[in-house]
Amino acid sequence: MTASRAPLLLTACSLVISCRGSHERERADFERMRLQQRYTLYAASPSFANGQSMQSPPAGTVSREALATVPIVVTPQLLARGKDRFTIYCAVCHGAGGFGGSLVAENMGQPRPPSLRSQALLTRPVEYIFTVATAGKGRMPAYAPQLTASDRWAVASYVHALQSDTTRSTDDVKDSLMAEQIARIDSAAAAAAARRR
Amino acid sequence: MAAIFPPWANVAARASLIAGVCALGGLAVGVMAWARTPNATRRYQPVSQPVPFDHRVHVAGEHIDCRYCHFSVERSSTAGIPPSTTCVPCHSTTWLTSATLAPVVKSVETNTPLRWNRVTALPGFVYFNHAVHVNNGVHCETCHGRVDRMAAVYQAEPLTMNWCVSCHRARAPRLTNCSTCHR
Ligand code: HEC
Ligand code: HEC
Ligand code: HEC
Ligand code: HEC
Ligand code: HEC
Repeated sequence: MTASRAPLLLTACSLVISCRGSHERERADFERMRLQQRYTLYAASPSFANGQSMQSPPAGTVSREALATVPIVVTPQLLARGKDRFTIYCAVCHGAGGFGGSLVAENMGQPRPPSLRSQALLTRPVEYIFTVATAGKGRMPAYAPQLTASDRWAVASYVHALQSDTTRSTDDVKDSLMAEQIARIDSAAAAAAARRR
Repeated sequence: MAAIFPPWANVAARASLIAGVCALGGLAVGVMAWARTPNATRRYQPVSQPVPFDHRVHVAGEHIDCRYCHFSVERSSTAGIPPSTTCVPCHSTTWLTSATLAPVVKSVETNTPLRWNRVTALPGFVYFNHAVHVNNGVHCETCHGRVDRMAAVYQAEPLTMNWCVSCHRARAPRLTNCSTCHR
C-alpha cells in the first residue's frame, strides 16, 4: 500500500463507521412508519368488547341520507342504478329477471326465494319493497349494510318497474325457465312427502 | 533477502481484489433479485383459513358477484371481508349444520367477528384505496388474479412499489408523487 492511498482508505473506513451512529434512529423512524398508530377500517382493536375497531351505530339510528331521499323521482338513471345493484345483490337468489330461478335458489332448501313478479307483489307499493330490502323478511337478511338508502330506493323502483314490464330479455327467459324447473322439483318433492304420509 | 511472496502473489492479490468486489456486487444483486421472487413478495402462497371458504364454489359455481360479499369495495378504501351474517341467507338450512361452518354459526350467535387470515396486506405507510381504482376501470382481476379459480386465495401479483408505480406511470393522471401513496 502506498502512502498516497492511506488517507483514502481512512476516509472510506470512517464513512462506513459513521453510518452506524444514526442508524438506530432511522430504524425507529422506519418502524414508526411501517407500523402506524392508526386503525384501518377492519382492523382489530383491544379497546372494545367485540374486538372491532369499526363499531356499529346504536340501534335505531337513522342516517341523514335516508331522510333526504324519501320522495323519490323515478328517472332513467335511477332505474339503471337499480338494475345494476339488483343484479349484484338480489339476482343471486331472486334470479336476473326476478322470477326466483337462480343457481342459489336451486341449491337452497325450503322456503325458496319467491318470485318478485307474482300477482301478490304487484299490488304492493314501492315502499314495501324498500322496507323488505332494508329490514329483511323471513330468511332474507337486511340489505342495509350492503346498499345505501338511495341504492335501496333505486332497487325498489327497479323491481317495481320490472313487475309492470312485459317484454322479455334472454336473462328473463332463462330465469323464468329455471323458476319453472325449481317449482316442478318442489311440487314433486311435496307429492312424494304426501305419499309417504 | 529472499522474497516473502513468490511472483504469482501479484496476480493472486489482484485476482482476490477483483473477486472481492465482484462478490460484494453479486451479493447486492442477489439480494435485489431475491426481493423480487415470489418467495419474498409472498406470492402464490395459499393462506389457510378458519373456514375452508372456496371462491370457486361461490363465484364460478353460484355466480355470486364479488361485490355481493366485498360490498364496501366501491365506496371505501377497503374491500372488506364479509360479516358472518352475509353467509346466513344461503347457509341457514342445508349447510349451517355441517361441521365446516361451525365457526360461522358461533360467530353469528355470539356476535363476534370471525378471524380470517390476511392474504394481501400492504405495510402501514402505504395508503391504498379500492374505490378509486374500481370506479376508474381497474378490475379486481388485474390486482388479485383469477380469484374465481382459487380454492384458497393467494396473492397473485407482487404488490411491490414498482408494480404499483409502473401502472400509475402508464396512465393519464401520472400519480407518481410519493405522497399519493405514502403519508
Ligand atoms: C360468498 C362471498 C364471497 C364472494 C362472492 C367473493 N368473496 Fe372474496 N372472500 C370472501 C371471504 C369470506 C374471504 C376471507 C377468506 C379467504 O381469504 O378465503 C374472502 C377473501 C378474499 C380475498 C383475500 C383477502 C385478504 O385476506 O387479503 C380476495 C383478494 C378476495 N376475496 C377477492 C374476491 C374477488 C376478486 C371476488 C370476485 C371474483 C370475490 N372475492 C368474491 C367472500 C367472498
Ligand atoms: C348467495 C348464497 C351464498 C352465500 C352468500 C354464501 N354461500 Fe357458501 N355456499 C353456497 C352454496 C349454494 C354452496 C354449495 C355449493 C355446492 O354444493 O355446489 C356453498 C358452499 C359452501 C361451503 C362448502 C364448500 C364445499 O367445498 O363444499 C362453505 C365452507 C361455504 N359455502 C362457506 C361460506 C361462507 C363462510 C360464507 C360467508 C362469507 C358463504 N359460504 C356465503 C351459497 C352461498
Ligand atoms: C389496483 C389494484 C387492486 C384492485 C383493482 C383491487 N384490489 Fe383488492 N387489494 C389490493 C391491495 C393492494 C390490497 C391490500 C390492501 C391493504 O393491505 O391495505 C387489497 C386487499 C383486498 C382485500 C382484503 C381486505 C381489504 O380490504 O384490505 C379484499 C377482500 C379485496 N382486496 C378484494 C377486491 C375486490 C373484490 C376487488 C374488485 C371489485 C378488488 N379487490 C380490486 C389491490 C387491488
Ligand atoms: C392497473 C393499474 C393500477 C395499479 C396496478 C395500481 N393503481 Fe393506483 N390508480 C390507478 C388508477 C387508474 C387510479 C385513478 C386515477 C384517477 O384519478 O383517474 C389510481 C389511483 C390511486 C390512488 C388515488 C390517488 C388520489 O387521487 O388520491 C392511490 C392512493 C393509488 N392509486 C395507490 C395505489 C397503490 C398503493 C398501488 C399498489 C398496491 C396501486 N395504486 C396500483 C391504477 C392503478
Ligand atoms: C403508487 C403508489 C406508490 C408511490 C407513488 C410511491 N410508493 Fe413507495 N411504496 C409503495 C408500496 C406499495 C410499497 C410497499 C412495498 C412492499 O411492501 O413490498 C412502498 C414502499 C416504499 C418504501 C419502503 C421500502 C422497503 O424497504 O420496504 C420506501 C422507502 C418508499 N416506498 C419510498 C417512496 C418514495 C421516495 C416515493 C416517491 C418517489 C414513493 N415511495 C412513491 C407504493 C408507492
